[in-house]
Amino acid sequence: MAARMAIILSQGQSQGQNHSSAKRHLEENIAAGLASDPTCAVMLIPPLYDLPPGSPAFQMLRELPGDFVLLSWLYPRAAHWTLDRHHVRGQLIETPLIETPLESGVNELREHGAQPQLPDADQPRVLDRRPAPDRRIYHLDLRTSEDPRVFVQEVRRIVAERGGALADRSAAASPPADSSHHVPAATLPARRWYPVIDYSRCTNCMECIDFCLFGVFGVDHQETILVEQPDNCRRGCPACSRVCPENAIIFPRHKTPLIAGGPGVASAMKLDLSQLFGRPAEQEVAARERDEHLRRSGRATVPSAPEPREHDILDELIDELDQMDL
Amino acid sequence: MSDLEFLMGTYAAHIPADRSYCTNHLWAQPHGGAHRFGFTAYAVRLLQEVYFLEWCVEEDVFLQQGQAIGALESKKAESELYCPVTGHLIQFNAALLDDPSGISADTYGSGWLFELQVDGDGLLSPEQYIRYLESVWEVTQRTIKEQLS
Ligand code: SF4
Ligand code: SF4
Repeated sequence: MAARMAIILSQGQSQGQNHSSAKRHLEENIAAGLASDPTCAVMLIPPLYDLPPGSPAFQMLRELPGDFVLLSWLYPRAAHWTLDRHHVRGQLIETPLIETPLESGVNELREHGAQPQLPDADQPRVLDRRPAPDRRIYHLDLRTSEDPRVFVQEVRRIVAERGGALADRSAAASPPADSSHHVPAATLPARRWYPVIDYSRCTNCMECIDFCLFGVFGVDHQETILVEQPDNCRRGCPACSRVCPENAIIFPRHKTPLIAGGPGVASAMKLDLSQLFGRPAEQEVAARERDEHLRRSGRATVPSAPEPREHDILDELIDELDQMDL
Repeated sequence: MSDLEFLMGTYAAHIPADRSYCTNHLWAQPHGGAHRFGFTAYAVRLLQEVYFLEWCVEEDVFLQQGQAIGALESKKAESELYCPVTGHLIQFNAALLDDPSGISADTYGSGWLFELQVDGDGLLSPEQYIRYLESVWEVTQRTIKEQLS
């Protein structure tokens, strides 16, 4: 039997009926396109980012012996460091550009994103003293194209390129290409929300652990930062990703690409501190405190009329902070 | 009297005892008939390294407290700058216009921002400033979080 390469397809979360069936359609077509290929072992797993730590899918991924391809609905950095957090480690390979005219804009971005110009490029990173194994993890972002053939072609190219390098052991251990790993949409895990640290950027400066009021971050026995209590994280609060001097903290599900692990660096994420540096600071503080007291006493505040949804998130956050008894 | 410190997380912002303070996180110190103003360590910690600084008023003018006088940008933040107390603006620190990184390099010394002739009223003592920081630290963190969510 020929050596086969594992092709992992991480399902998309459902996002309304049409959207999710379009995703499902693409996933199914890619799987179908590769099913008959004797060099590929295709496996479908539930949405990677939402998998609980004990998930059998992580177990299966940890046991994969060699290189593999991961197709997910996440930015490659987000997917890669989510895997890393669960001890599925390797070299992040962003595959060469998938050329479709429609997506040239995205590809341009990806090109720039591959090697971001970080401000303090000389500082040692956590990854430097904890190098990942040589195995390659090829990441394909399923949002890059709606055409399954694009992905099938790209996977074939990767497999052909790595064909010679595929060790025999991967033939022995490569999983069967049947549909036993297919997970019906009804059993999709609940959506999660937590930070993912990109250790190729992280300098272990501890800003995030100081900043987060919810005990999400911790350190391991080597005093290296880690996301210790992911489920303590407040949904919709990506604050620490902005506080991190290296932009190492990813929230894969955030709407802003920069925060979600997409290409780019800090410049687009600027705090406006004018309020704190003199724009009626005291009145602001007073107004806030007043509103809080009103809220505590059960009365409605004078709304500053932002978008209703944002207001809800904010209220939630402030309420949570209030309960913390700082 | 010895210098004070304010804890921002684990970072201790140094608050020297030899000068006065303003609620917009500037220190003030008498200098040649006027007062010199500059950012406190607390402000610099929030801003981190400043790489852009611009003033939008002329030297030798009378400024009202709260009047917008300039803007700055750092790696992580941007902010407009406001006049801390009513007074007569003598001059800006010319050295910073070439290289604003002096702000973080020597916060309490050569990184001063401008000289303003003020009567000294309305300035805070170091203890008062610390108390002020204590009262706003939580809200400051919250303000930052609100912008991010
Ligand atoms: S703030 Fe960023 S660089 Fe610093 S320890 Fe946290 S993740 Fe790492
Ligand atoms: S997003 Fe907020 S709650 Fe979550 S880890 Fe970051 S600072 Fe903590």
